[in-house]
Amino acid sequence: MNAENGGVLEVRGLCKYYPGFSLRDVSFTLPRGYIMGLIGPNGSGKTTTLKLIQGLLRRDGGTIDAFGLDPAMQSSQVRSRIGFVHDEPHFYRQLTLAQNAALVARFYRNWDDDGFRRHADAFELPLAKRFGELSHGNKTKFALALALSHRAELVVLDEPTSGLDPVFRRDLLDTLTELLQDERASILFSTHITSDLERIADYITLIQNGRIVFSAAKDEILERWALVKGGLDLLAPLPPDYFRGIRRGAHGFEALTDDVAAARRQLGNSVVIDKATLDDVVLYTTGSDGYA
Amino acid sequence: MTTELLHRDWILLRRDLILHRRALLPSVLIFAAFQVYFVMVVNQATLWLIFTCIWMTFITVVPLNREDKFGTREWSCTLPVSRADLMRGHYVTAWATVVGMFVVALALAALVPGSRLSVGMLLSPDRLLLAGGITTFILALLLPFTVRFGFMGVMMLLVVLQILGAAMFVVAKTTGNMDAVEGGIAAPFRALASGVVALRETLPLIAFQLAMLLVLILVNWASYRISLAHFRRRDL
Repeated sequence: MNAENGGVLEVRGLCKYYPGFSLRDVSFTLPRGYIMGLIGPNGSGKTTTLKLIQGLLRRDGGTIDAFGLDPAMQSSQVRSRIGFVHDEPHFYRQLTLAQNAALVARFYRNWDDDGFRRHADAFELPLAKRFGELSHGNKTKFALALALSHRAELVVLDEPTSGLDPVFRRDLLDTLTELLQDERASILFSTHITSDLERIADYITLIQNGRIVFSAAKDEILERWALVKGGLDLLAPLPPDYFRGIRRGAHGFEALTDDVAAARRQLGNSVVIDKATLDDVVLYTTGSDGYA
Repeated sequence: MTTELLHRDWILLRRDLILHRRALLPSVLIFAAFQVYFVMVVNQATLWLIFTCIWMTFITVVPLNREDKFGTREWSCTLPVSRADLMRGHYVTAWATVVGMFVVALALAALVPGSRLSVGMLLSPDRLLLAGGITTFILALLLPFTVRFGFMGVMMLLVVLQILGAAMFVVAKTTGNMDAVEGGIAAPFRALASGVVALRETLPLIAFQLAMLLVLILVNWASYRISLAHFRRRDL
């Protein structure tokens, strides 16, 4: 599938080099009408990937195909079809939300003013208030309302739920899902909170140290990966890289596998095999505890 | 295509003027207040023109600096306009600001009671070319420099120039070579001026004026291309 025949966004071999960090060979495809979560520890390359898609950074290699167009070459056409919500939305602090929206509206041919009012009402946004006086949550909601009001076919959100309290976060995710079902848009959003992905994502792309660990449908991931629990003595005959990640305790081990059948054949009934949660998959594959 | 470009420029110009009105208005008011005093004490049209053009031109970096200050440049670059559109918008805004301030300054020169200047003195083709020339050359240096190094870069440059000037003054005073130092600084400007004068003597007046206008347009275009090249390379 590519961006011309059903995929909204296709990223292939994306590279960006910085001193001390590099994003290498990042590839994934987001099909039309689906939600993809881009997850990874802080500093793994999520924001860099999203910025490359937006054309805010120059790529050092690879291709990006959005709606069959290259954002680097046809930036204005691509951006008119994408809505962006940054982790720290920067609008004009001294202007009210209504004034900010009026400024943005002029740039979009298919701006839907009624739609903007509707989203603003749904988000309970105080349109007469200055942007600089809003809470972080309301800033994010305002950015989202703008992104949805020009009928974006793809909404890209960078850590939209970070810094929000759990109730607000849940509320935002629910609204996001509902609204995007109505709008038939696709979403690509980065987060380091796995519970957000469990709630709304159809596809998950895990990135670590600038490289893709996996990119697949959420259900496929949850079916494929499992947690294996057993006694420490069982580990002795196994090669060190038999599991994708392992934690040893005083009385036993807990490990992640992406080949349940092989683990069952090898270890039989001496181990307990449970379904892995997304949190487990991320935790064991990245070895990171930085997840909620 | 041209209509589309003009439409985008108009949107970007309006956006810049709306966004930066709070910074631009006080600057223009201070400028106007000084002009009220200035036109009453200065009777040399060329001096007025040079000073006014330099002042006006430096105010044009306000929108660029504020974009950096408020972190809104990154967001601007996610709008459905290219970086070329954004940069062209900055140049259009800069020129609109300059022209607007020049009109204010001319109006004050004409209307302030006790003004020692008249609009007739200032609106001759030669003086307008001089005004265009000063504005173009300062803008042509200032805007790419600001795009590349930001507001702090401009401040640093001004400080360095001040220190350099003071150091040269001290050296010239102590060594008794004031004329040589002054001559050294003025030499490129004198060379430029004599080149322009020579051209004027060679060409018919209208051809000279058109040639000068063409040079100013080319310098502006080159400056825009340099700014755009910097802006396109910039990671946000």
